[in-house]
Amino acid sequence: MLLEIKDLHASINGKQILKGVDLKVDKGEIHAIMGPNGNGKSTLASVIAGKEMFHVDSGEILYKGKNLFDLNVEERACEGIFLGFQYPVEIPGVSIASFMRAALNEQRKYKGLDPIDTFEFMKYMEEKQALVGMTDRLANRSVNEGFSGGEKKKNEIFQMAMLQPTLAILDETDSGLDIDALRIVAGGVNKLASKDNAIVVITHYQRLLDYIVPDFVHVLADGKIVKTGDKELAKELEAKGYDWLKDKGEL
Amino acid sequence: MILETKDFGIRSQNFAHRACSGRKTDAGLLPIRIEMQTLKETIRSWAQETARHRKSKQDGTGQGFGETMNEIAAQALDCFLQLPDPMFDPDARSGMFGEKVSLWKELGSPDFTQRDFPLTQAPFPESFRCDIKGLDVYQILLYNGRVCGPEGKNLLDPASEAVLSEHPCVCRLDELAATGTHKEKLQPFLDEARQALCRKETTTHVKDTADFAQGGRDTAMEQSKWLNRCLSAETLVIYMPKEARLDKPLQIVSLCHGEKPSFVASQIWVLMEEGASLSLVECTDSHPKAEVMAHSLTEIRLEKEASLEYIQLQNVGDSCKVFHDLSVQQARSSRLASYNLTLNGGLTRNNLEVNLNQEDARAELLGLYLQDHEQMAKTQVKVNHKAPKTYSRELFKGVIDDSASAYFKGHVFVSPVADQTEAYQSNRNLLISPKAQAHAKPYLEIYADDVQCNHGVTVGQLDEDALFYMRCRGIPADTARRLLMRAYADEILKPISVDSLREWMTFLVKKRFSGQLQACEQCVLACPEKKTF
Repeated sequence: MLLEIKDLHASINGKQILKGVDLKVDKGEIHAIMGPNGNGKSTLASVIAGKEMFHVDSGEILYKGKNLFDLNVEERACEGIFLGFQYPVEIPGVSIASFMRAALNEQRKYKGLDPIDTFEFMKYMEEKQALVGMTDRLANRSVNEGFSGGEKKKNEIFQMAMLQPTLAILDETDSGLDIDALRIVAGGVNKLASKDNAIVVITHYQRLLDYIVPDFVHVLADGKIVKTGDKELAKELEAKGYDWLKDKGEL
Repeated sequence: MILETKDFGIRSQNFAHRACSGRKTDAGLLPIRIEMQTLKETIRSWAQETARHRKSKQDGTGQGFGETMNEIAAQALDCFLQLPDPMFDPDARSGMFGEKVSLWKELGSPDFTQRDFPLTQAPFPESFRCDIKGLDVYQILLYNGRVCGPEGKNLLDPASEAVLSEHPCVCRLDELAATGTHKEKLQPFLDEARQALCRKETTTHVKDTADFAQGGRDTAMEQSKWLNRCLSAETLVIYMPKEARLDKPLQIVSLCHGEKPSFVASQIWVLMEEGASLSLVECTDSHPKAEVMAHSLTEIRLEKEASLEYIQLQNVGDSCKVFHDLSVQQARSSRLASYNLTLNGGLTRNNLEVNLNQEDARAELLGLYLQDHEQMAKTQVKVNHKAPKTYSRELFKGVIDDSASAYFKGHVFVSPVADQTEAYQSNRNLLISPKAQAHAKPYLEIYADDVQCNHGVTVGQLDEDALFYMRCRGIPADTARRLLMRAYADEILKPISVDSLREWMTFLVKKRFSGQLQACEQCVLACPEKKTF
């Protein structure tokens, strides 16, 4: 099992957000986590990535069989966990190229590899840019500075392509995307999905799941996973709304 | 003396983990206030020594500028010594903005009069060169304020005589004959020095800025120049004739060194005639362990359409104090791009004064100060818009760590005739640790109606979200912090027009942030220190 979350409770500023999450993700799988706003989807992603402002009250997360909480943020990244941000951060003055080079080399260092050679890096980057249709002009700009919503999300997928994570958590990667950008972003994710990695997409809408077809769909509500099914569950949710679960007494 | 040591390992936010961690605390320096009389006597005797030095040089040729300079120096000393006592009293002035970093406070500290005044010390060995790989420059060396190099020669080309005619020339002022074209060309510098002296009747009110407001002069700045004029023994002249340019940048390396705590003064005049252009780098360096107080004055005159890129780089040891005055006069359509880079130094004070005297004169003033430990830096900028259609932009950025502090005081003066002036003033500070301090006082004084001016200050911290974002990609927190700081500093370095200079400055800033900056590699000065790494 790649990722195993057991009865996870987490809070922020004393307010309990996650109230016993159980989730298992294995290599080669695509999971979708859906659910109403403010019910803990992004918190779950942040806790996995290691954001310190969230406090883990109880429960555990095993990643590759090891306790995830023993690793800090950057070590988790080097171990292959990637968080695609809902709101990618602007970093003025740091170009995408130098940012990615620093990240890639740090991850290589962690694995005991030498820094990548300049020429090789350029070639590698070009290849990954093509995957999401990112222009050179964009790649030489400061990270996310002045980017449109679509460009920011493309940039997230581009980074995922560069770093080749084992577990990618994409937090509302579809929000703020028009249909063309959605297609490109989803296309990129599909190309990156393989039997050696797992992808967890967090989303509100079924729309994304037309492009990225999940093996499992989970509904996270009130800090717990209340229902798990296959892609049909997403369609049902889209048609009937979350109230449908409420009416059924499952929420 | 109490030695204070720091555990650098724990303080991860410390951006420079330097090897020397011992430091005097204030406790050892506090109790005695200096006797005014002793201080005045000290300065007077140093000024006499300086005058003797100028005179002895002058005996050789007989008609240098020495006599004139001595005359100006004597008057400057007079003005300086007539300053009311509170000027020298650190306690009386401690409440004022930024006086923690003031010449007066330093003069008033008990160890000031104990300093050496190394005028007659043997010149630094000729073998010293500041060689930086990939950087091709003309290099002039100043050692403790004294110009090194053959006498009476043009230091750009030691085969030729020092004359101000059709070729670019760098030489000592007192080796030029004070006659004919030389006198004519340098007269504006002498006039400027004389005009800035206070008249007898105003000396008692001299600390009142109103005396100077008419001419846009700043009192404190003038006073600092007086001290320099009476104590700098030599003046380095940099002359660029009409339409002239050099094939590579000119670098002045001003090296401060002394076995004992010392005080050194240096002076540079830069004359750029019509249409001339130059890239000038002035580096103030010291031995990492030296305890020097360096006072330098650079006066620049840009004639019609002249263009100057001026980089002032300060990288001295933590026990050094640097006081730098820059004074610029700009004629019609002249261009100045000035970069004030304070990489290291226990205490650094920069006074910049730019006069835009004629139409379409433009000045870009950029600055960067990187402070950590208990370092202090103060930047004071005065821009006088004295003619219509003039332009100035100030951008000063600071990164302040540990218990360091930085002060910025900006003053833009727009005279009633200076319509269609554009003036922008901005100061930004990044505080890395909870104890770091930034103080700022932006100030505009506008007497014309049709102008575009703005000013602003920010004091902020590293963006936590950006740090988390970078860590999420595998970049350790320390590295991420340094990347952000470098990106922050880069805005100041980016506009440097000479590629090799920009790359070198960027390299130095990078080293500074990773704590590896003591002195350049290969440098003889670094030898004693290198062993400790």
